[in-house]
Amino acid sequence: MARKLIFAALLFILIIAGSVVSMADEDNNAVINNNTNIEIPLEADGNALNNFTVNIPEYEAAASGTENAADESYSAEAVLEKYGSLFFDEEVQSDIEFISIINIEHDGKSKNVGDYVISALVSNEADLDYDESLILMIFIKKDNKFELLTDPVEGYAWFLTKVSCPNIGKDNPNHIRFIVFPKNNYKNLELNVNLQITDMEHVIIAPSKPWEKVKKSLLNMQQSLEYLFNKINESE
Amino acid sequence: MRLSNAELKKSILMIFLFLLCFFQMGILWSEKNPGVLFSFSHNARGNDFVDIDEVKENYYRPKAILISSGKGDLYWKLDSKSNLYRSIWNDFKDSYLSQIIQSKPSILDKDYEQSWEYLSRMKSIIVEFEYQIPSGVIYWMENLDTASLSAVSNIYKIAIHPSEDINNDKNTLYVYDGSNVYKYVVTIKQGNMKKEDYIKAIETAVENESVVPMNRLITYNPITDRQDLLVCLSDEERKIWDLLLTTPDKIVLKKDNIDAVQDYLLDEYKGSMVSKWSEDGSNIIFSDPDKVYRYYNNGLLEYQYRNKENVEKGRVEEALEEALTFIEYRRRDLIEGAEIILSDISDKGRYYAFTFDYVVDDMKVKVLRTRTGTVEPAIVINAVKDRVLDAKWYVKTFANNDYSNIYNLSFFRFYERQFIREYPELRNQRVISDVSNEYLFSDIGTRAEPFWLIETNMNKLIFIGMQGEE
Repeated sequence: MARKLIFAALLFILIIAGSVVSMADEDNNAVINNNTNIEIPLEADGNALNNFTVNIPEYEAAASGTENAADESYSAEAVLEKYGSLFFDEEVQSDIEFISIINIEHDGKSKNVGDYVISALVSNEADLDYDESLILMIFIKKDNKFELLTDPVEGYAWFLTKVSCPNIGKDNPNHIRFIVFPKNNYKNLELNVNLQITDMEHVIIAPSKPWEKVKKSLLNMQQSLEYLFNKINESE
Repeated sequence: MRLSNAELKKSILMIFLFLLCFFQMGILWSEKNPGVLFSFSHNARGNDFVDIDEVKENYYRPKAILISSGKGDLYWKLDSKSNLYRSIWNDFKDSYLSQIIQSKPSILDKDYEQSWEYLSRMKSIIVEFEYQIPSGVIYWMENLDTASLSAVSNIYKIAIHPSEDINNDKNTLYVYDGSNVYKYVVTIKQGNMKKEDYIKAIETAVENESVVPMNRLITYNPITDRQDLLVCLSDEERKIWDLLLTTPDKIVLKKDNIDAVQDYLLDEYKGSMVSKWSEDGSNIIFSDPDKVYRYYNNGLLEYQYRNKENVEKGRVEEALEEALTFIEYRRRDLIEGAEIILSDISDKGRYYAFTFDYVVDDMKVKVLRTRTGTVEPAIVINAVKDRVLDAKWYVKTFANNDYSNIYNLSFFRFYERQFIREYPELRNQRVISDVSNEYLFSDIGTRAEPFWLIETNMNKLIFIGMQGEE
C-alpha cells in the first residue's frame, strides 16, 4: 500500500512540476522585464516610431475641420439637382483646368472589354489650399442624356477611378463628360471660375472573335490562292 | 523471488510513466530554455565548423518574380511562399543561372530584342534582383569553375519568354545587366518546370490567388522618372503583425554574461582580447592589436580591423565569403524568426561593401536611428579577400508582437490619404525614385512596425507609418 501511495505522490509531483515549467513564461512582457537589456518596450498604440514621421497637426486639424464643415451639408445629389441645367448643357465647355486627364487604361484585372481605369491629376492651375479637395463627377451620354458613370469622387492630388464604358466599337464612341469643382465652393459654382466641364470621346475597339479570325484567315488564303492562280495564268 | 504477473505489469507501467515524465520535463526544459548554471555548451560552440557552401544560397534570392500580362503596364507579383515562385527560382538556381553564366549569348537579330523596356512589356515572366549581381558572385553561389569568363558581367533582371523557341526542351531568356540585353536559349532539364507550365503560368496569372497586381506608376501619375517603378494601385489588403525585436537572451549585455557575449560574438582568438566597459555601462570594448569589437546594450555590434592599409582587395566573391562567414559564425543559436538576405553589393575602391537586411514575411526590417532620425540597414559589412574590415550589425531575434492589423497596399490610397497630407509641397512633383513597404524599428526599442518608404531623387528618404483598418 505504501508503495502505491509513494508512486501516486511521485507521479503527482512530476505532473505538477511539468505544469509549472510549461506555464512559466507565456507572457512576453515577463521575458522583457527579466531581461536586463535596457531596450525600451513600446506600447502598441503609443507608437514611438510615429514620432519620427512628419505630422502637421495644424494642417490635420484644419483639414478635418474643413472637411467636417463641408461634409455637414454637401451632397452630390443636391449639387446635381441645383446645377443640372449647367452640368448637362451639351454646348458648354470650360477653359479652366482643375484636373488634367492623364490616362484611360483598360483594367487588366477585368475580362470585360469595357472596364477602364481613369487617372487624372490636379493641375498646377488649380490654386488649392492644402486642405482643399476637389470633387470629380464622370458622366456618360446615353440617348442624349447624361448619366453618372461612377460615384462622384473626392481627391486632393490624384484621381484614380474605375469605370465601365457601355459603348464598344469604333462607330460607337463613349461620350464622357468630366465635371470638377472645389468641394468648398459647391454652393456657388460658376463656369470658368470654379467649375471645369470637359468632354472626351473614348472609342473601344472590340477584340476580334475567334470565328472572325478564322474568317479573316480564310479570306487571306482565298486572296493568296487567287493571286497565285493569276500569276500562273499570266505566265502561261 | 519471482514477481507475480500483476506485479510485473505494474512495474513496467511504473517505469513507462517515469520515462514519460522525464521526457516531458526534458521537452519543456529545452522549450523554455532557462539555461544552465555552467557554461560547457559555450565552450563546445567555438569548435563548430561553419560550412558556408551549405548556407550561402540562403542569402540571395530575387527581389520579385513578376508575370507580365503583355498589356504594357500590368504585372502580377508572385508571393515568395507560393509554389510557382519557388519552382521558378529553383529552376534558376539549379540550372538556368549556371547555363547563362557558362554559355555564350545568342545573337540579337530583332530590333526589339535590344530594348529591355520592350521585352519586359511583352508576355513573359520576369525575375528581378535588388542589385546587379556580379557574375563572379553567381559563379561562387552556383559552385562553378571560374576558369571561363562569362559574357555577361552582371545580372540584374531576367525575362523568360517561353513561347519564343519552338523546341519543347528550350527556353528563351533575356538577361539585362542594367544597360545591355543578352539573349540565352537554355535547355529545360529534367526536374525543371516544363515549358507549357511557364506558358500556363502567364496565361492564368489573373486567376492566381497568390499574386498582387502591380502597375507602372508613371503610366498613371508622372511623379517619377523611373519607367520600371511598379506599385500596387488596387485595394489589395494584407494582415501584418508588429514584430517584437529583442537582443537574444544569450548575449544580453550584463556584468555576469561577458563570457557568453565573447563566445558568441568574438572570433576564435577571443582569449587574447582585453575588455573595457564604458563609463555609463552602455557598451563594452574588446580589443587586441589587430581588431576592436564594441558591443552595445541595444544589441549593436561594431567591429573594426585596425590595419586596413595592408590588405589586398581580391575578388568580390572572396570578400563576400568572408562577410557571410562573419555572419554565419555568429548568427547560429541567436537569431530566430527572420531571414538575412544580401541586399546590395558595392565596390568601394579598396574594399567591397555588403548590405544585408533582416526579412520577415517578404518585408525588410530596417533600423531607425533615434539620434539622427535616419533609416539604416541592420547589417553592413566591409570586406576584402581574406578578412572583414568593418562591420555594423544589430543582432536581434524576432517574433510576432501583440498587435496585428489589416493594411491596404494601394499606393494611390496612401498617396492621397497620407503622403500629400504630410508632404503637401510634394503634390504631383516628379520626385519619387522608389516605393516600398518595410518594417522599421527604433534602435532603442523592441517593436517593429510597417511603414511606407519613399525614396526621392533629392536623396531624401520619407517614411510614413502604414495606416491599418480602424
